[in-house]
Amino acid sequence: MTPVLEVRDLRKVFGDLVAVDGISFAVGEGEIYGFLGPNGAGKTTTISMICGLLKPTEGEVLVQGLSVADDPRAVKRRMGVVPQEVALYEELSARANLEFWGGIFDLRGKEMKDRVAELLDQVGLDERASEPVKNFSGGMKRRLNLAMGLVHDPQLILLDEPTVGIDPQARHKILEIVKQIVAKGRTVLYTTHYLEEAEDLCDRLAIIDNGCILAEGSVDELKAQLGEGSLLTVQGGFGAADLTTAASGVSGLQPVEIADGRGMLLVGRDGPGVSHALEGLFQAGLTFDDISIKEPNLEDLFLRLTGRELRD
Amino acid sequence: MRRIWHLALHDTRLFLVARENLFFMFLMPVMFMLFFSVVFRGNGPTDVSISLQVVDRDSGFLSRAFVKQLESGRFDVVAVAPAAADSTAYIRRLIIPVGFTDSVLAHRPVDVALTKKSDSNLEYDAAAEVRLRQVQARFLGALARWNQEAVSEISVADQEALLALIAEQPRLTVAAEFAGSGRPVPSGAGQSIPGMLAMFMVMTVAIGGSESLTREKLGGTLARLATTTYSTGEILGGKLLHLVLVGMVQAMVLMAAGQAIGRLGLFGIDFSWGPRYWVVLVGLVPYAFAVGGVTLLLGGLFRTTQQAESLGWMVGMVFAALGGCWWPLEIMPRGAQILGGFFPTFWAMKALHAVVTFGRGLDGILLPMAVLAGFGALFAWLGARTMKVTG
Repeated sequence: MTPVLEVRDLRKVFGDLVAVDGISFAVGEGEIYGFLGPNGAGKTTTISMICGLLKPTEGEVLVQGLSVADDPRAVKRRMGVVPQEVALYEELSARANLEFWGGIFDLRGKEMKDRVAELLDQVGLDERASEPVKNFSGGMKRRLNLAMGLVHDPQLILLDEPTVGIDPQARHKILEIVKQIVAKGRTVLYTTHYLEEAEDLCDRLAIIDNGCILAEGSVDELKAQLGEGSLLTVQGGFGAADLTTAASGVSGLQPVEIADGRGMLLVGRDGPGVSHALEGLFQAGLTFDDISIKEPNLEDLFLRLTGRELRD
Repeated sequence: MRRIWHLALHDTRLFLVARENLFFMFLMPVMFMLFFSVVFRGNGPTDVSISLQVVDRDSGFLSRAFVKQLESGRFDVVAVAPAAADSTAYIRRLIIPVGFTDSVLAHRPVDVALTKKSDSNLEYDAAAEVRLRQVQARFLGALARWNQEAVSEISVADQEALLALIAEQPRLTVAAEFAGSGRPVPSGAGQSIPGMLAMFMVMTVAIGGSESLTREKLGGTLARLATTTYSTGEILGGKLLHLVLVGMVQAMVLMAAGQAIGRLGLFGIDFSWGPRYWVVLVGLVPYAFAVGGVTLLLGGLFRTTQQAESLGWMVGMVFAALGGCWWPLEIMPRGAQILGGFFPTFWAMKALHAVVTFGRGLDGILLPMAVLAGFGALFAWLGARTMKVTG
């Protein structure tokens, strides 16, 4: 089956800066594909090339088999874009905003009225539909921003960090709306730097940094790249070399990320266990100020892949 | 074209719901029209009385008759007693010497002295001298018809007969008007109302339009439009058409306001767009296009809305001053007139004066219209190259 979105060797160079460096991926129908990476990783640049705002230096973007470069109008009709910034007309009401964007996509008359009413209900703004948007809270504006990308009922929806700067309740509401959209068979490309969102929402994820995809797969597949077991994090006055040497002498202990004064080690599920691992490190003469044990998550994988934390 | 209209009408609606734009569009220009029309109403001395202080040192019946003649000669006479003359300020002063009556009756030459302060209005001074000669001629004419020979024989009835002759309407008047290549300098409401219309078309469109374009650019709605099925050309076309529409709405509002002010005679203002108001309207279309093009360019150049607000004002002021919106082009130095030719306001004022002041038709403003259309095309092209639609 033809993927709804297919990106092939996409590359974007601004002068000496390689913003996106040969990215390829495909997203199928009814799938939420996440782009997880820190600010400046290349997520927005990738989205901008997919939606035709930026011309790629190299590579190709296909939407339902149609090339963005060759047939932009047909592709854009199939695509709804929700930009990172809240791009609304603040003086107009929520309804007027939706009607304007609906008009852009040739919605008229009853079709327009029904669609606008449906969306206002879906994003929970039906009771304040006639108020100027400038009176809305940040969360309400975000919801309307999302609705405007859906007004023409596109097959592919590009959501660029749609929950930035809003409270947890408003974020939860937006994630619920995204799930409803996908339940209707729509396809979503979702960029975020919030780990929990990516884990909760996405069927598949790409971890992106410095314009490259570092890892790709489902949440479970990505976590599996760290290995199965518990993640032991230690902090203290030790050097990186001391911890590496000590860890190599303990069976079932695998270094994930080690630096001076801080180390992250995977204690294999089939090995002798955390107690045994700690005992081995103590016996090597190391002392720790802080010890924590947890299940590995995508943050840990990002740390392992890039050597820095996602929020850096 | 439907897409372009969709955007243009949407943007115009947004423009009209912004309260600050309505102030610029309706209230402020009408206030300026009234103010400048009143302030500059006395710009030309043709239809007004000229102030003249008269010191009658003779106080004979002929000097009093001469003062009467001055009053009927469109002088605003202020009589000052000879004793108070030294301590009284004046702009223009006429001194009637002692022995005026006797000298006239004896057919001896006599001089009246007109003195002017160094800071008096030269135009009014010149007019005063012309009117003084008219008064002199009429006074002599009245004396000739009166035909008395000696002071001793003049009765009260004779004096009254002379005053009656002086009070008569002149039997011959000369009506002068500009013809051929002669061009009067537009003044009063004839200058101010078209000038304010041309200025506020620039101010309203340049300030409001560039501010909204900059806000859309920064706020992301412009880039969002580019993610839709609309091409960059359609988006910019829509923005430009919107600016032209706003300019024309402004023009129609101010044309109606100018006509109403003139018809109602508010503050004594006498003004009309003339019978060819539709020519004025048609002539303003390329001007609105030029102003829209300038605004598109400004919107592309400005990086913040604060820049748009402050520099938009400055652009409007420079365009108005050098384009002849505040004062007639004819009174500007030659260099400034040449410089003014590089501004759309200059050509708009040329077209407006051609229709309103000189009664020309559409064929009389084809050149200004063509120049304005050229300005519009140039600025729109520059604006399209400068405006970054895709963020």
